[in-house]
Amino acid sequence: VNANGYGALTILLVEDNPDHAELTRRALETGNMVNKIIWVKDGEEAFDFLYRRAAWADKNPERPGLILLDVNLPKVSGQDVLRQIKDDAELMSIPVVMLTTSDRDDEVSTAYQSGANSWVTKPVQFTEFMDKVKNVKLYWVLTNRLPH
Amino acid sequence: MSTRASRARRPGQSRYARLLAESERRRLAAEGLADVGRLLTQSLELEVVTSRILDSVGQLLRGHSPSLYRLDPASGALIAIAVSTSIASTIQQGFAFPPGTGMGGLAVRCREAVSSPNLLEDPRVILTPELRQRLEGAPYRALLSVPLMIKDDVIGVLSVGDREGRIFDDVDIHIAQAFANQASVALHNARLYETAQRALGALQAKNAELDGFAYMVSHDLKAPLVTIQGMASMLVVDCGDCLDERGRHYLRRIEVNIAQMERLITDVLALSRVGRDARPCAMISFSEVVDEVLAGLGDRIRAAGVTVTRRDLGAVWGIRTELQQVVSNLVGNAVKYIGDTPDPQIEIGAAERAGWLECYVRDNGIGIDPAYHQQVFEVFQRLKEITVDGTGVGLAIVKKIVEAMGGRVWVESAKGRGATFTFTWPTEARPR
Repeated sequence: VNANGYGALTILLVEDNPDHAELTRRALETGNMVNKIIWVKDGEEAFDFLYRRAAWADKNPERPGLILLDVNLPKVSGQDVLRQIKDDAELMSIPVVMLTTSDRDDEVSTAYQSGANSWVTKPVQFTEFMDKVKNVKLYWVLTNRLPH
Repeated sequence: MSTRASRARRPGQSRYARLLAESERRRLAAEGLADVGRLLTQSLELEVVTSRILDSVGQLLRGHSPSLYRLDPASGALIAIAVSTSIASTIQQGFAFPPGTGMGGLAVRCREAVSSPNLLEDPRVILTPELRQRLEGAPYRALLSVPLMIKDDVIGVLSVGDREGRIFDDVDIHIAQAFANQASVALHNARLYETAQRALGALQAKNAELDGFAYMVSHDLKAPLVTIQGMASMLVVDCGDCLDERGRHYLRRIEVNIAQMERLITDVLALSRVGRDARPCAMISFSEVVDEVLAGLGDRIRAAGVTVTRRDLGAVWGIRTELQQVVSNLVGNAVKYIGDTPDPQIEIGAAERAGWLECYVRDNGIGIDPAYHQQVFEVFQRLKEITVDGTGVGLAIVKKIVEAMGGRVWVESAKGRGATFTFTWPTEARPR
């Protein structure tokens, strides 16, 4: 079905703004390809999911194939979450796409230096927003071959 | 006869000798003053000037232990800013005479030169027990002090010492006063420079803070805008059928205003970003930059039916994206305000003079009333004479970029007679 040999892929969406989460989910759910989307509101919750602890301790969640990570997060910033993921031998192979309204040069460089796989700015125009998120999904899930 | 003659001649000879010595001394004084004057124009370092002044005064007055003080306006104390090494054990740099004390305090009170053959026994000189003890160890007893004046204000004192009993005459005072005047200028310059530097530092910090603030606010405004636009779009898609013509009209108006707000935010972000670009300056082909901009604006230029002429522009020194922004805003504006001229034309050209390129963007569009020529470069100042899209930030961005490069931008125009925007841009490497 795709480069990874399976139809659906779990996508972890780390986004504190519920409205943006709703818009992003809407974009991710458009089209034929159905993916499981896990939405968490901050870095702490993201690590609970990734390390299967706290609320996720006994839910045996699968490892996500893609992480969409906002930069401006409460508690642990998106940049710190990124660094921690890329410093972890178990997690570092999961592609992380920074999805944010910011496009500050220094923030973009910092993210890439920490090992971000992509940086996508959220456009105001909704059709553009839909297209961008859809492209991200198509690329990472269909075009790109992920490690097992 | 011969005795009388020789008697008559002797005082004459000694008078000539004295006059000769005196004129030699005045010549040396004039040279010293000229030297200090030259230093004053060349060096902003107070120390260089003051040490030269102390040397000259000590020599020319055949005294010793010269010292220079500034009057602290807040406390009234005289603070030593330069002292000769011979009195290092008595008065060190930074030592403060309490208000009114010492020979210097007397000069400040009298606002003119004062001297004493023995300051320790002069009833006019106020000394605290601590000062008296200190001065008893000084290598001088006689002292001349002249005030440093700027207009009517005393700002310091220059002093020269000598052995007990030395009488400082009018010539001594005259010379000391001349050097004191030079010292006043040096001190005043240093103070002005320091004040200017401090003000400049504060201004730069404030500007950076303001830019940072604009940047932050713009970003924070963008997040809710993404939501508003997204929700409005979903409303059209999901519930469009339930809306009547009026409902759809409201939605359209919401979307038009979102688009306008987005342009505003983008422009304010661009404005606040000027000067933050971390990319280094380099030599860039100005012609190439203009061609790129013209290609980017191609659709708009064709739609307006404008003929664009680009002259040979040579190379300049700067950041490519910034120069692109300047040209793009100026040409974009020219297209926007071309009006319904029969043969719409835009010309881009430049002339080089002494390390600077003077570049112009000329159009034969609707023009700008000279009354508004200053106003157009201010942020959010749009001339609402005709209805065109825009945020009123474009020319403010142009001005900020050009001025950050050390250049200038101005407009020549008359209403209905087109406009020529000209800016200067360096063609050689220069500090930003």
